[in-house]
Amino acid sequence: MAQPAQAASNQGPALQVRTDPSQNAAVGAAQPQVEARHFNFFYGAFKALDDINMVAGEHQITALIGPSGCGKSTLLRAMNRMHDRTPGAHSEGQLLLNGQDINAVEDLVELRKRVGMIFQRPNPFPMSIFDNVAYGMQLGSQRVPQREIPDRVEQALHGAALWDEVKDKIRQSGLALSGGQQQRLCIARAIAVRPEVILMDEPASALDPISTYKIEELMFALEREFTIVIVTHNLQQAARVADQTVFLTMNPETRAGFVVEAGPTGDLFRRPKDQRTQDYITGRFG
Amino acid sequence: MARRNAILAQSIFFSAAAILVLSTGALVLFIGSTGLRVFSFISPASFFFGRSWDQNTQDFGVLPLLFGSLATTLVTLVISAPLAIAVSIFMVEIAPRPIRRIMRTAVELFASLPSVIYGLLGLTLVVPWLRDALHVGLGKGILAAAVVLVFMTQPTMVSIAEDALRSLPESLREGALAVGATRWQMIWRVLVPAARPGLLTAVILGMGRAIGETMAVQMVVGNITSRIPSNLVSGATTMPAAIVTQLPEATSPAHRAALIMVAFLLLVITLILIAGVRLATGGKSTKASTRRAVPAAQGGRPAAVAKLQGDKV
Amino acid sequence: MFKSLRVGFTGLVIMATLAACGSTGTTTTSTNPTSSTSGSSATMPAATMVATAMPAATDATMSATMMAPTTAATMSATMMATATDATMSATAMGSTAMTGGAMSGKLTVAGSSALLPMMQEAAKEFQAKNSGAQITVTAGGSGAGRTQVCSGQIDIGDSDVKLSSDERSKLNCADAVETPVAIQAFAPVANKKGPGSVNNLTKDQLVKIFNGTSKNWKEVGGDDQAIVLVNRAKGSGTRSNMAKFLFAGDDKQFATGASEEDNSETVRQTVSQTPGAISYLGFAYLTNPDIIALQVDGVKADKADIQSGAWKIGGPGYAITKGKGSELAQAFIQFVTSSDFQNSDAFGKLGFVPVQK
Ligand SMILES: Nc1ncnc2c1ncn2[C@@H]1O[C@H](COP(=O)(O)OP(=O)(O)O)[C@@H](O)[C@H]1O
Ligand SMILES: [Mg+2]
Repeated sequence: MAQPAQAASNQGPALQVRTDPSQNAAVGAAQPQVEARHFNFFYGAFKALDDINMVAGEHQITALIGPSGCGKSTLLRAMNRMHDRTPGAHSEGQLLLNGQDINAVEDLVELRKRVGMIFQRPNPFPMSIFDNVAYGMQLGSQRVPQREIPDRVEQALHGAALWDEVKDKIRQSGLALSGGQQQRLCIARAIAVRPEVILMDEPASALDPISTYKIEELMFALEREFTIVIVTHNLQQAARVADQTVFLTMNPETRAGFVVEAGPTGDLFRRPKDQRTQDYITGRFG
Repeated sequence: MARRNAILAQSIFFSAAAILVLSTGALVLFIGSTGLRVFSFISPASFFFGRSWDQNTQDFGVLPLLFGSLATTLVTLVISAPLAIAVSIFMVEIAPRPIRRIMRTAVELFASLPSVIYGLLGLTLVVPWLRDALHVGLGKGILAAAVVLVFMTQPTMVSIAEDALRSLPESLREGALAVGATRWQMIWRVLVPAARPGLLTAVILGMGRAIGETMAVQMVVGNITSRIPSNLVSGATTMPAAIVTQLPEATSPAHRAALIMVAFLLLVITLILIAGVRLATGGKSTKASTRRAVPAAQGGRPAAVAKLQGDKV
Repeated sequence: MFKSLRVGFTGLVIMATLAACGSTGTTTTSTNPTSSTSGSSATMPAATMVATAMPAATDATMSATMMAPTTAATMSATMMATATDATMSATAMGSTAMTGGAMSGKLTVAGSSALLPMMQEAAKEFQAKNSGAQITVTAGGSGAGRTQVCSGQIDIGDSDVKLSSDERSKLNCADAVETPVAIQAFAPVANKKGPGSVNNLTKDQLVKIFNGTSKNWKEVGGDDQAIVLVNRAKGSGTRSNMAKFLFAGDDKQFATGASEEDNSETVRQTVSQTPGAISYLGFAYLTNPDIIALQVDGVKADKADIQSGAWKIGGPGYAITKGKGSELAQAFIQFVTSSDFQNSDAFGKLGFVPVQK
């Protein structure tokens, strides 16, 4: 599916960059699904994000990369208002979902059904595989009718490429699965409610290489139906899976994160415009 | 040198452990063998199925004591367990930090009150309150004991339940919220099931406290041993209350042996409870394989419980 | 948090109690021919304090337990300590007394738990006056006191009752000398609500109340208020004194009642807060303003009537010696019965009535 290509840079390690022609053709045409405009974010008095401008296009995979602590997770979590639970967290500027301000949304439950999330560590609920997937469908004002749930669970498990592995033990605890299977179960749980956007915060960093590969494969399949925003510290991964990449770093004095450069993944990795991007992808940045 | 010290330390720990194990064994053996002597005075049937315990007639049927203990514990748990779980949920998930701190202090205070204070409060507040509210003559009985025990079991249960909830990984909460759960849906459908081993431990240890409490119960239960009470508000007794009331005055050998047999029963029940805690918290023998995949904190037993159990081994 | 460990300790508590009982039991009854019965009655030097008839002893127990962190374990431990401390200090006083007295030697006193605090107080004061004397006072029960003094194990046995003629012959104790050392008295007490204007009951009325025949105060001329019968636990000295008066000692005739209390303080508390309640308490409690002490057959439980014997519930406790006893024993008993000691504050506070006027 993804064609490996040699990175243009002679200085750094070779990077496989995604060169899927159909996807690249779509880049310019994609509708912005999530968009940040002059977005600032604060933990109390600490400014974690400074004047962020970025776009995640519809049915594209957008990667957020950058050094640890630059605010990738912060930006991602702002997209489904996970920060609402953090005392003192607040923001300025605009963060839009289909042109609508995410911070103005009143019904959080509906927002989170539209914007799902996958976490770094797989976090299945202490219940059966079936119940894990069914969980989200039974919540909120637009519940899935009970009789449709078994079909939807199966669909979601197919969608997460997990069905064949669990179809015989669907009533067993989700905690009994392997780490990679647990993560795909969480993906099934997220896609079961048919969100528009799926946020992934380093979804494979706790997994072994084979499980990681399976997740990446899965992302290509998911891309057709969902918009994906992924945070990763793994540059190869970003290069392999993302249509668009956003590179953030932080101000060395204030530690506030800001966007250095964003664009189609191939361009960003092969022809970075900014020296800081160049340094980062060639490994000079710590 | 270091090696010598290590050997020394090891042998000290080993003998300490051996002493503990041996003395526990000796305890069970001693109480068991002394208690079983009761059957040289009365038949096992009249002990286990006798409906009256009265030294005047030398009837030592354990049912009034056993019934009293079980009923008191049951009524206590029916009120205390949901209350403790609600309180701990409030402390962990809802209360802002200052309120949480105040509540924690209150729990610690409750835990440090001696039994006799609970007994006095029960005697001067709970008993008259029940008497007036329910229009009964005195107000002592199983219900009064249970109300007192609800307060006495809260510290144990709340602190362990709170630990269990607090040790759940944050990602579990976020995972539930991320699929659109409200806070309450997250609490009831995800957190409570995830913390179940810890919550169960809390309830079982609270139960242990309820079943073993002596002084406070004795002051409010009425200490009527001669019959199985027909309701919750007339005089009754529990096993420990009967022991502490009667042992000092037990002059006949049959009476003494019968009381020690009750102590043995209490010991057996306690051991069953400890086994229950081990099972609930997934002690070595059970479910080790399925647990491996679970993040360490999730579903595991809270540190405090592990500590408690460690102390008991 | 660690309170929850009590689960596991319940057994230990009982073990501790038994061990405590067992060890003292052996020292006092090892050579006793009737060791099985008197062994068991002698098993509770510590524990008797809980249920002793005397309010003072009960007070001591209560306050001891109140101060201690009260698991049952510490409870019994505390009680042990109380008993032992008293003995220890009594012994210690002897050797460190400032004033050198005439008497010296060792004396062992054992028996009635009701009389224990009074005997301990007397021993303490006596040793303060006689630096050479060493008096050990323990409880163990009146029965043990009588048998042990007759068998020569101890010098003075204290007992709530005199030796029966049967005992005198069987225990080979015809020459025993019984000296009354203090009077215990008990009286029916009631809540202020119920008796109405009635403050005197006949023995017959009391019998009917305590055997459960009379269920309402109006049956004895009081208000229309249900009688709430509060008993002491079976085996308590207070209760057996009441049984002796009401039912010729037949405890079975007591109605079950609403509750059976372990100690006098709980009885006082319960009676004072429960409308219609009736029970019985020792002399020290009778002036308590929360409750009404009832007259019986027109006699009030006051000092004069108790001393004269007009008050029928209770009676003197005795110090028993085999023969006249040793010189030291005689001196000690003389001290106990002296008007100085009998009319001292300490003696009064313990709830006893002096034997002499
Ligand atoms: N809950 C929080 N409260 C305060 N500061 C936080 C919180 N979470 C993250 N931060 C800070 O915000 C900055 C960005 O963190 P994060 O978004 O987690 O970075 P990244 O995911 O890029 O490694 C860091 O300096 C971090 O210390
Ligand atoms: Mg991060």
